[in-house]
Amino acid sequence: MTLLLNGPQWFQGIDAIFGFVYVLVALLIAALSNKAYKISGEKKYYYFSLAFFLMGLAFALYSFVNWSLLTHISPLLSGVLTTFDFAFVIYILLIFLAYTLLIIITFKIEESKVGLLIFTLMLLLTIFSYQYYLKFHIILFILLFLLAHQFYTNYTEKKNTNSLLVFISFYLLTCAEIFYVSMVHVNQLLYVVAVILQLLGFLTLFYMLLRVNYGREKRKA
Amino acid sequence: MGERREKLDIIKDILEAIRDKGGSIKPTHLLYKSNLSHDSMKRYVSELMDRELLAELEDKAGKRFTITDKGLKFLTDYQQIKEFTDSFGF
Repeated sequence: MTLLLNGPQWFQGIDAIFGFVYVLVALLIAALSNKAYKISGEKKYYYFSLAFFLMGLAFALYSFVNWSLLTHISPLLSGVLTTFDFAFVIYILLIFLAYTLLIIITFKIEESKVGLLIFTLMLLLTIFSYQYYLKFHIILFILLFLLAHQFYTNYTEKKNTNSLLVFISFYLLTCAEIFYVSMVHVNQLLYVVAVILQLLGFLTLFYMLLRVNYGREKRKA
Repeated sequence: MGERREKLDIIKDILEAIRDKGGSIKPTHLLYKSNLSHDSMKRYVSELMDRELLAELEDKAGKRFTITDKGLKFLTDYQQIKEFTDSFGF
């Protein structure tokens, strides 16, 4: 089983459209974090920006590949994509790189070798093993759970709406992973639930970005 | 004891101190207003001058630091960036 063209047939393509929402949100966060890096000169904002840029790239690849498989835009491309799982491998690589960076920054891990170790172990556990679809989503669940917990701690300290929105979005993304895993053994419809939860997670992040960009002026007025 | 200031907050405090003094400030006043040690202030001022957020001026009255247009732009952007970075717990 690959990462591509999952879920019930009637839903295939819809998730690819949602993918473009994820790309937009990830790239907006990358841009804002890059702005923070430019004005503060602090490396952590650069790596945070890079993490979301890689995530955006991964979702763009995912959506493009799914869309090209569905529309059969090129028989050669479809042939390559279905013969080898190289698009899936690149997707995993980009997503793991992105989340490793997020973990390093969020947990303030200063030793770069620890980050490299996390990344290598995740790759070894998924790509070079049987049932990598399942393992990929189980590892993502663990990473997202840790991030959601950290963002919850941040919310309890800051007690503001934006930090609550970040926590809610990562909580939704964590829940989505449970459904991605359950879908394999329970019912394909759970894939739809997973995708909708993931979309809600990214829309919550988008709402937080809107508040940061435009809400400030409104609150001032 | 107050919370430790992030680099972003220190830069904001330095630039705000200059802006609130009408755009230029004496080094001794800046040292007092920024609440930094002498060495830290020198380091920050040097970095901010490299990044063209502030400039040094010397006249009959002595040395002064002035805020540049880029520095004023930083103060406008600061609130947005601060809200964003706080949301993720930086």
